[in-house]
Amino acid sequence: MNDTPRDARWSEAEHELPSELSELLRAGRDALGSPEEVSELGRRLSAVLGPAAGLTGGESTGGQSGAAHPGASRAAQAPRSISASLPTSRAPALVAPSRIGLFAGVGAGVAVGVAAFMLWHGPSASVGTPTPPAVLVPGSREEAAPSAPPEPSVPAPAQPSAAPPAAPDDAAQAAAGEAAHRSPLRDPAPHAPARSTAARHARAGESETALLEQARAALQSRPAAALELTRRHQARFPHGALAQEREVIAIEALERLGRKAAADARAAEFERHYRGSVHQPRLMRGSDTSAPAGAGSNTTVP
Amino acid sequence: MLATRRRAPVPDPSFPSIFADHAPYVLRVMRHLGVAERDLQDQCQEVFVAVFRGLSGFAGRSALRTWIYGICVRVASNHRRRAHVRRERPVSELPEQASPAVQDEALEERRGHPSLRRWLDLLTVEQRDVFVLYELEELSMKEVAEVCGCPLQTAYSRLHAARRRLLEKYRECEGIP
Repeated sequence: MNDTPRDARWSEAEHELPSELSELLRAGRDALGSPEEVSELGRRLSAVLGPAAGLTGGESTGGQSGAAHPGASRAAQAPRSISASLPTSRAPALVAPSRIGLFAGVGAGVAVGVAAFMLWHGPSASVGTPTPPAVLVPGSREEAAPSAPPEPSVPAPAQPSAAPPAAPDDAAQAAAGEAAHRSPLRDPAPHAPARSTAARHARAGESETALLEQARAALQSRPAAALELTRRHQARFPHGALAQEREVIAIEALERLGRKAAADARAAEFERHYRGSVHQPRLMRGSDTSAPAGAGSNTTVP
Repeated sequence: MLATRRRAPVPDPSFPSIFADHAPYVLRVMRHLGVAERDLQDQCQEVFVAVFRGLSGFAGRSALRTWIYGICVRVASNHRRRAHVRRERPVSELPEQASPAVQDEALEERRGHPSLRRWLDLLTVEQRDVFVLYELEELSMKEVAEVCGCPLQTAYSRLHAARRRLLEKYRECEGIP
């Protein structure tokens, strides 16, 4: 078969490709993710990233609203709710911790209620002096492309997803005896097993996402259990891709438990170690409620 | 200094629209880059977590789509590397009984992706990335080189090597000398 012109795609080449390959390529170009897949992905992101992602209202295939992509086979359509079953967030009330909204730690399913006050780390509620987390931070080059511009660090991959039952409050209380006098950010090593140990202790099929989904779901009614789940996440995934999101949940859980000093310390540690985090501007923003500029599909973001 | 006033979360208004616009092809490209079906949601989630976190720092040095493709390539590369270490073997060495890779193929066929994965599995990681981005995602070669982080000539070399490999395999399957 003749060589194709330098920049011509096989679909544009003058010579004939084997029909099997042509058909496979054509089908491959057209195989966009289905609305169901997009919806599920949006649900997972909403559960992990919280309302800061803005997906609580539901996003579905908005289609290629920007420059049309040759392979797009779904017409642009207005975003619609990805899941009518997702409960909507309500405005904070009563004992809503001061950082709930600021850290966007409230998941899509969280309704504000009175926080159960449970001592977690003992009367002192001391969290010690924080240490840097052993996680990727924005701007890290672990997986950055060779190009110079700062890019988001590519997170470590998540484990295969599963949905183990949420930890009961009893388990949270039983685990309260564990020392946690330091911020988890400062020194995860003493309380988080080494990688190989964590792997051995890991529950089969328990993914980062599953743990954080459970934690976020437990925030409103069982903040102690939510905090325990964040501890489990940290132990299993000391270098996890979702460490920031875990910290957001943990901070809110501490707030809901009435452990404001611990929450403040952990939030301060978050600010130090995740400077530039997308979660941070919402904390630092005062009366400024201006929203970041949007970006369309395949358009250069200024 | 921490702000203490209570505020409802202020969502980033750009992310939902970005997600809606880009999720359909991210799912596609991640499949083609070799992410197994059972891991697809997890890996695509990683892509969009990275997008979400990086939006504020994205300064428009490239098109948004190109930037997202770059994230896809890196996430998929990590995933394939680990999957290879864990369990995957080349297509030619697949056992008779259903393995996870074969099950993925069956799932793909039900979804209407008949054995494209088998062909793409023949390529090296670098060849596959270039081939998928150029032939399936229809980026320009300049964009492909940018996404893959390689010189333009290297991208062309990989593309041509990928094409040769696929055609060689086709001839072999068809008994064409």
